[in-house]
Amino acid sequence: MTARTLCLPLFKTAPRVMAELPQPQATRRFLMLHGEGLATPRAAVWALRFSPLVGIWREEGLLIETTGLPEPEGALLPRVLAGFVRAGHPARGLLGSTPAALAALLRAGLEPQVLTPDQEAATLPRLPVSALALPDAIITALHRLGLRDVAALEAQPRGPLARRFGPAMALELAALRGAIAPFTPIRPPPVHVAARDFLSPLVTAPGLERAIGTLIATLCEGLLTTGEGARVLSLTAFRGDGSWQELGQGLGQASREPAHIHRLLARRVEELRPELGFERLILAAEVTETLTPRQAGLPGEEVPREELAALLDRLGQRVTLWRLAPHASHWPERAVQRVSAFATPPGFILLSPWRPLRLLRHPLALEAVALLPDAPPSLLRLGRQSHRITRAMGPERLEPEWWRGHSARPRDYYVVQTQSGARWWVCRSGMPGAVDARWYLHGFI
Amino acid sequence: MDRLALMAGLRARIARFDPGLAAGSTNGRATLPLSPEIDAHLPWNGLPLAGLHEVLAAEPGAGIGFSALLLARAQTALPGRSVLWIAGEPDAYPPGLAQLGLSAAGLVLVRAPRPADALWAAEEGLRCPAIAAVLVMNATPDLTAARRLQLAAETGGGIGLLLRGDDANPGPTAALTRWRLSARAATDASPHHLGEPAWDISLLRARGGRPGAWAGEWDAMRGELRVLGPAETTRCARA
Repeated sequence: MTARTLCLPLFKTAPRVMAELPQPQATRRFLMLHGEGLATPRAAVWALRFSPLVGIWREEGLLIETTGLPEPEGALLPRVLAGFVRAGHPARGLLGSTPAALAALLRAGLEPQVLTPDQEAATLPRLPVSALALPDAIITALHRLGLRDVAALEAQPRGPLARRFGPAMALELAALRGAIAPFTPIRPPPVHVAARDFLSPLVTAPGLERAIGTLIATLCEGLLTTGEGARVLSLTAFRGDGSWQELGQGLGQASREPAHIHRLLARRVEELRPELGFERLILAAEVTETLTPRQAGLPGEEVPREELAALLDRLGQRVTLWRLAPHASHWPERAVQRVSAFATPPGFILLSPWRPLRLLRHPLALEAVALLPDAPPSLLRLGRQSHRITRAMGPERLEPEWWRGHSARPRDYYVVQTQSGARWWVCRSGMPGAVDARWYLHGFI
Repeated sequence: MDRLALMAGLRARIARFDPGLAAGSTNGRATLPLSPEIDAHLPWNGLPLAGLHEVLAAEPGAGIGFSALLLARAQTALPGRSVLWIAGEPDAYPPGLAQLGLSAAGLVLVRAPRPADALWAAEEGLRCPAIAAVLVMNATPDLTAARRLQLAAETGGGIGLLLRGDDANPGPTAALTRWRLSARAATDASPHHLGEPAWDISLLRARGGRPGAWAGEWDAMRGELRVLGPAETTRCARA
């Protein structure tokens, strides 16, 4: 009775969900591959088709983590080896639980097979020391001492061994028994991945689109269960001949809407080059963000932001988009700066009512006639046309920002109205009366 | 009287084919206010939303000023929505546009060097319910493309503005209205003071309405377009 009363509050604080989470597997499983030209990023990226965790092992081979893969290990090993043969990289492989031990066993010439942890532990003592990843000098010294296999080596006290041969020896012995397993995958594994194999290679655009559609559906289901939305997607398509193609697609706002993602990726299908056909597609959400579900707006309510983000995503595939934000500068070109179209820039503060509506990126050169060197112009010539100035306001002198160097010259800005009524924002670059003073039409008011 | 009844009957028949085409559907249509005089002249009692409008600019400054005014009014009428500014090289300058009430926070600039891309972006934008207005500069869509824009605007509910240079013979259009803007001297102007922006606003055509011409001035303090009176109709005759 007392035990029962003690247990009840525990049940309340610790939710039962915890008990239902999948338990991590007791041992991690690795596939070590040795072969010609395998320890390269190229081969490692290609091997991503078997598992999302692939690393290069000490410049001698590839290490693929196979923990939790759905395929039985007995079938996985021949399939991976056959895949490497077809890709032009014949390899020998061992599937086991300790990378360092697998590498040593491969070096000792063990045939490709699947090793259980017990088998592995049983094989290790008979391993000759020459198969260990140790410098030749150490191995010669070990032979001279009469230590010819791992059993003999492990029988020695560790302290004197480490003092005599340095830390490399201690590290290797620890790695052999799985005490440390240094392993850096070439890419951080994405949490959300959808992959599919195709028996007949995909060549046509409609076929690819349909295949991508099924992948998107799977991916979005996964995103929904964890409450996330994708920001960056990557589609990797593997061809039969061992080559592959990658497409990246960014999203302005996290989304798990299959229709939106499908519309974005469908536009990219034409960039895929199937050649002889794709036999495996992997769609991964490389970057995700938390996305809390929102209720769709009722009619008359504020328009949901997702509509705008989806539109900007679509437009951004074909044209360039940006917004303008104020920048602390009195120099006209620098008073605005471009920011992302997905940002919400602050408003502008009016410095002077006489600012143009359009500021020409390339100001038009003018020729000016003025009564006096420092008087406003009375006649402006733009190209071959002369414009008589009926009204002029100014000058508004803007000095260049001295902290930006001395290349710019002071400008005198005038607002002028031509005889036809047009209002121009013109400036004289340079001091009045200077021989090199130039006139420009900089904007329309 | 017969004539009026006949017209009403014809309009009702057209309305059955295409609600957007009918001038008879004026009563239920959401509009943007311009100024009391111009609104009263337009058959919709204001500039209709969910429609395409064309602005011919005799002067670049006058055209952009009037367009910015319409964009700002669309921003106010449809709060929370954004405005797209599509041009080959968009050079909108918010410190100046703020005077006409156009806020930079809801303004997205779109650089589309190819006209086909500009029209595509305009159509996508107009169809989107998160867009209040789309301004396309210097694009001359043919009748089919303009009709597509008009239909897209009816879906999304915003306004589309086609701003282009003045043309003596602008050709047919699928837009609801076509305006020509030229600059004029302000009433309080002196040789050393330009005064408020002042425009000659001519309505060249309005579907189901009559052309008109006004002289207008932008009153920045009150934020309204002040109509000074009917303009001398020399330019209007060209339409």
